[in-house]
Amino acid sequence: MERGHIFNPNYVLVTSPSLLFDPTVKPLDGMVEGSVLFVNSSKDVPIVDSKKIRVIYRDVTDLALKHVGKDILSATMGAVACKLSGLIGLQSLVDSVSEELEELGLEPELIEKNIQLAKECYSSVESISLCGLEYRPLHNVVEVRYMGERGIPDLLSMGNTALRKTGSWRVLKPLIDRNLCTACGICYIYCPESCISLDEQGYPLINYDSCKGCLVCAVECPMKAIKAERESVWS
Amino acid sequence: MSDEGDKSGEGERMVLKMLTGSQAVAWAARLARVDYIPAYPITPQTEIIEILSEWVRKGEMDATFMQVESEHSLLTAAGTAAATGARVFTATSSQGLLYGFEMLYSIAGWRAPLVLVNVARALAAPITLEPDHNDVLAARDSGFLHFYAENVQEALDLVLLAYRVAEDHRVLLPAIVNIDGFHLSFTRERVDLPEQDAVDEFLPEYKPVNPIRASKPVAKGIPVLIPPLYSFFKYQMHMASRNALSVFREAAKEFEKTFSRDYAPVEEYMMDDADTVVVMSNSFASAGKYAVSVLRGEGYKVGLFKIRLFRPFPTDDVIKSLRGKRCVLVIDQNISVGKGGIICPEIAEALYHLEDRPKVILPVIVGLGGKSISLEEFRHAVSVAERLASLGARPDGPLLLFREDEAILVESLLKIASGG
Repeated sequence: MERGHIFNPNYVLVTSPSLLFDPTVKPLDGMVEGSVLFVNSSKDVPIVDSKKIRVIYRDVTDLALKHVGKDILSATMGAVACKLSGLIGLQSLVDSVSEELEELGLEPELIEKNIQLAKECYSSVESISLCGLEYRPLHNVVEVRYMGERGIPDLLSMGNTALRKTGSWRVLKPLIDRNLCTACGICYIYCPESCISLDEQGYPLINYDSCKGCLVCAVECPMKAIKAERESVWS
Repeated sequence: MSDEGDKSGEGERMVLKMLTGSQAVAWAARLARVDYIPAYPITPQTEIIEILSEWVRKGEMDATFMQVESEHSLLTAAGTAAATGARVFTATSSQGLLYGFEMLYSIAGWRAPLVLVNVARALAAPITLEPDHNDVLAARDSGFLHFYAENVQEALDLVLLAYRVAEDHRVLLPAIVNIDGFHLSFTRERVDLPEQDAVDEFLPEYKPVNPIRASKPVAKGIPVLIPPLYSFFKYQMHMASRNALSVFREAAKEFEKTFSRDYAPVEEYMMDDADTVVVMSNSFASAGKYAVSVLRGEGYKVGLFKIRLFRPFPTDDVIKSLRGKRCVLVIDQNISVGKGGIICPEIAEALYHLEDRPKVILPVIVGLGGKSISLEEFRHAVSVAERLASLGARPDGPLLLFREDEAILVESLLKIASGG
């Protein structure tokens, strides 16, 4: 049994394919031949790692949007985990979704929608029982050397947030309709990520490498010139 | 992994639940029928007070909930309320504990029993939200009793036991129950939730000594400008804390009768015929147990010794379990900068006067700021200790464990930070 950091996962569930290649997240760490990777995606994503892991793709975000109208994924991923591992039955799943959402004070109607969502996610995959998997490859233990000034937690390169391409977090993509836009600059001011700039005529340009899809711009736009579209292509 | 956690609640006076550590300690406060909950939010503690405030709002708990303006006020409110005879629960973490630090010594000096849950989180700077034990160990010398939980069940049970021990008239000291942030606070585990009437039997009403009353004023924590008086009162606190060892054993015996879970000040894991023993505490002890079971399979005669009650320090248990062992590795998930781990010297001191003390006591630092502890690191530390023992050599400072994959990650992040 492991508590805290899981070094030898039998099943790994990844909510967004963008996390697969994040060097600080590294969700594939410890996966060995025969272990199961579930990716919330409608399309196959090239897994660079050549390990013979079993990969399952399902777009549970689509299911969440269909049932609940929001990309809230906790019930979906929980349901998939219950089914994949074969450890938790449908009734227990339904009971816990209901109990937890009641604790949060959700309306019965919304709880029912979440239960339907969990049920559909549950039936969207098959159980895969795993045993006798290899232990993950081991790392070397190393000595930490004294690094002098480099060992002081100073940040010298300001503005490095731009290096982190948060655009891949996006579920809904804001699209500006240039015919409706009056170049008022409201979206530019409100964008919490500062990823909207203005062109020479004062029209907004969204940097999709950084835009997380929060849609504050769409909410604030006085002309309703910003539409949200489901992100179809992930890159 | 833990023996206690695997026992079924069937036929007992409990209900089986899946709870986070936060929910479990909130349930413990509710079942203890606490009167007063001063609160101030801090990650990763906030969920505890959110749950309690909701229960109080809905009338499910008959307690006064008050959000104050800082942790210094939090602890002042907690201690003074306890001095009036209220049963008090509160919780904080990390920077919050340090911000209220002055009051820890005052509350203990007033001999005001209460339970404070610390959700362990490493201290700034650099700042993080992940756990280690420098926060709770900063309060080591304050006079608070220290209970350290490995799993969610223990977190709940130790809060109940902490009230029972702290309020005992042979003790009358406040208690900290430590649960590791994230690893316990936000992780759902299977928990046997005790029934209210069973808890009522185990934990009778708090009977305060000299409670402050409007009709009967009492001055608590009086100035003592005559030096021997100060010494006298501090010695009294120390002896009261030492009493808590036997009081804990008594309470644990009754707890076991009611709830069928057995808690000693320490826990032994695969210690029979072990030559080498890994000493740990708190939630990462589970990783230690896992490593020990794997290393056993590889032929290492290794066991694990877990400290559950850290103050009062269970010296006799340490001696009983570790005497005659060849090597002892003390894994400190904390660092006293310029020395090493905080717990290791205490283990060494407990064993020093024995003829059959271990040949090697190896101080090991790992798991700071939530750094994971892997099988390879446990194996490395065990092999270093065994090599030292066979060479008759002594450790050259604490072993600072780190892995190559972590070193590579750190190097890449340092490059970004320096703009290079």
